[in-house]
Amino acid sequence: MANALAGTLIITLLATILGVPIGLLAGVFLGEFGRQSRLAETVRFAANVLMGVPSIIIGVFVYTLVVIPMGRFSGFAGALALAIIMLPIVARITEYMLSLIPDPLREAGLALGAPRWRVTLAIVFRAARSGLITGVCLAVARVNGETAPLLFTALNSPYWPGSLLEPMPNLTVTIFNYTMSPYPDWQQTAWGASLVITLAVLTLTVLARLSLRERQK
Amino acid sequence: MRLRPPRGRRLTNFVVSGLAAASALLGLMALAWILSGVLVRGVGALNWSFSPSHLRLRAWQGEDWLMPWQAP
Repeated sequence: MANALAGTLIITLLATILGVPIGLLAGVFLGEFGRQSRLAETVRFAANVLMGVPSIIIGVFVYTLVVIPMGRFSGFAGALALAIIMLPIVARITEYMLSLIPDPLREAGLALGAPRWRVTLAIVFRAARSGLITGVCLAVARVNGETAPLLFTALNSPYWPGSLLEPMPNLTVTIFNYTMSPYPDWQQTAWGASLVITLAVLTLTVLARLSLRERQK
Repeated sequence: MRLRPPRGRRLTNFVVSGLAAASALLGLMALAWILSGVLVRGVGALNWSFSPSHLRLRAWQGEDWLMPWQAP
């Protein structure tokens, strides 16, 4: 199971690297630059729809887009699927957290002559930092337990993860395979993997709450 | 709009708050049940042995690729 744990960490880390910056930037557009524009409304609507799309559909989408052209399952495809799931979550939470920052703070920065991007990065982001961290933690916790998209993309492997372009072991698909096995020790391993994922999600949720509490102080 | 008697309003308030509290407790109990179930069944399978040798051996034997319907 240790290889699956390592694979899950790698896939989640890569998904975070792919999904979080784009999600943050989309959230900045929605909360700072677009606001009530037609494009922002469209992006907001698309993000809401994307949040409601079943994860297996995203898995099939990445399977068609990446796995079939590459001719193989890969950890990269799995990370891409998870990044797509993270994207709308991070974007909407970022927009919400930025909307909590009072406008006079932005106006003060602009009055000092700072350009809009600098005000956003140096003032608004700093003020909303703990909220943004909370959003990222919740998005990571959300994708941590996804199985369906990984079945279509990263698949699974009995080996230690070697390359991102090969099938990669991961905890959720391991749980799926081992739970259905007739061997009691495999089923026990599946329960162990379930416990590890549950503890990871619990830890991330607690971290998110602690981060928000720090903000409220 | 006709005002309801204070006794009726108090009773409604009591019933609604009681139902809400019971629902919240039910949710907490379900969470505790799931968490304790996973903990009890899963804690026995955890260890600190991260040696890949036995995994490689099992993979070499082809065990891990067997699906349930292929099991002997």
